[in-house]
Parts: sequence; C-alpha cells; structure tokens
Amino acid sequence: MPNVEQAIDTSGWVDDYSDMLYNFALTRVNDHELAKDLVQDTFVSALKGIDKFQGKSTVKTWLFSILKRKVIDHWRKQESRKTKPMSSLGTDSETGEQKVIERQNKGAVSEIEVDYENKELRTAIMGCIQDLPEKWKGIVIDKLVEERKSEEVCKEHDITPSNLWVIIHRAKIQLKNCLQQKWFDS
Amino acid sequence: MITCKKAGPLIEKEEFEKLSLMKKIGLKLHLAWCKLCKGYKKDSTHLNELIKVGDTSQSTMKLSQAEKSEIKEKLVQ
Repeated sequence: MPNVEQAIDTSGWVDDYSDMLYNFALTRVNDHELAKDLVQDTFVSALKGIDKFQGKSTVKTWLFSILKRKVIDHWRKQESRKTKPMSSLGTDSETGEQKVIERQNKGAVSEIEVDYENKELRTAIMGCIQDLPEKWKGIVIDKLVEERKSEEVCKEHDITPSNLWVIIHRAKIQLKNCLQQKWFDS
Repeated sequence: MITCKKAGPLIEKEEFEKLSLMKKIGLKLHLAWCKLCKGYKKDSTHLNELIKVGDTSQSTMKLSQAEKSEIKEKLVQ
C-alpha cells in the first residue's frame, strides 16, 4: 500500500531554515551556543514528529512553532533556577529601600545613547530582557524588539489588548531600572 | 480624571496606536499635573528606541557552515 502521506524532502531544511531559526532563538535567549542547540533540537523534534506534520501549515511555520515551545521551556527552566527576587526592581529585601534611592542618583535612562553599533549596549539590553519574568519576556520581545502588530501579539500570548499595555508598562519600568543599574554601575 | 495606574499603560499604547478621544484627553489632563508620569513619558519613548537595539535580525547573525554541518550530522544519526 502506498503511503497516503506524501514523503517530505527534509534534506534542505538546515540550509533553508537554520539561519532564521537561529536569529529568532538568539534574540530570545541571548546566547550563541544555547541558540544553536535550540535550533538543533528543533530539527530533531521535527524529524521525529514528521508524521504529525500534515502539511496544514508551511514547513517554516511548523518549525517555528516547535522552536517557540523550546524557547518557552528554556525560560521556564531559567525561571525555576532564579533564587533571588527581581533585584533590578529594587525590591531586594536584604538591602531594602535604600538601594532604590542610591540608584536614582547614578544616571538616567535618557542619557543612554541609542547606538545600534554599540555591542555593550546590546548586551546590557538583552541581559535586562532575560531578567524579566518568563511570562513577560516573549511579549516584550515580540512587541518592543520585533515590533509586531498588537493583535498578533495578543493572540499568540492569549492576552487582552488592555492586558498587553499593562504588561508592557510594568516590564518597561523593570527594564528602565535594570538598564540604569547595568549601564551606570559598570 | 485618570490615575497613574491607568496612565502608565496608556502612555505605552499611545506610542504604537491611536487612543480614543476620551482616553487621549484623560491622559493629557493627567500628564498636565502629574510630573512623575510626564517624566516617565519622556523616558518611555527613549526606552522603546533603546530596546530595539536588542534586535539581532538587524545584524542578521548566521550560523557558520561548520555549525550547520554539525547539525546535519546530528540529524543523520
């Protein structure tokens, strides 16, 4: 009996898709080796589950959906390893409120120059995004880094539009404090 | 009159989308007397610009051929 499912040619997948998958992963995990591993795992899972791919979507969409799940799994693991409360918020219980006041004098976010060539700045920003709570990270990257449409972001993360702006606002306050600390303390 | 709690998310939304007339007026009035939110609004625009620096696709980073071959080899196993 011939197989109903069409045989899918997977031989060109790595050449065709690995760079875009890698870029997506790198923006989200901010680590070359880790991003590379996630891309590799994505291909492994895809080939293992190839019979589940019924051509309902494009190969690209399907690979991205696998990678997105892997990124979220990584964030969850990362989150469960966090021992400290969000120190960048200045709510550190050991040091108390004083730290917040101390921090305010160091420098303002408005003094940081927007410079796409500045690698240190990129590292600082990506580091601060990594420190965000897992549930906010994807939303912030989709909306603020990649500037995707709000409806799309809401749909993907299953949130309401008003919820989106509340999350963006809280996340940006944390990013602001984190950036000021990272930038002016070093 | 809207509160700071309401104003914050509206400041974010306004950077990307049009607000309804009522919300626009509410926010304007709030910003007229709330120095804290007014200050945040300034930072907020700049912060959005800064965050975009984090986009790696701007520089389209790539995996090397060796790394791609490595992945291919793993997939054959």
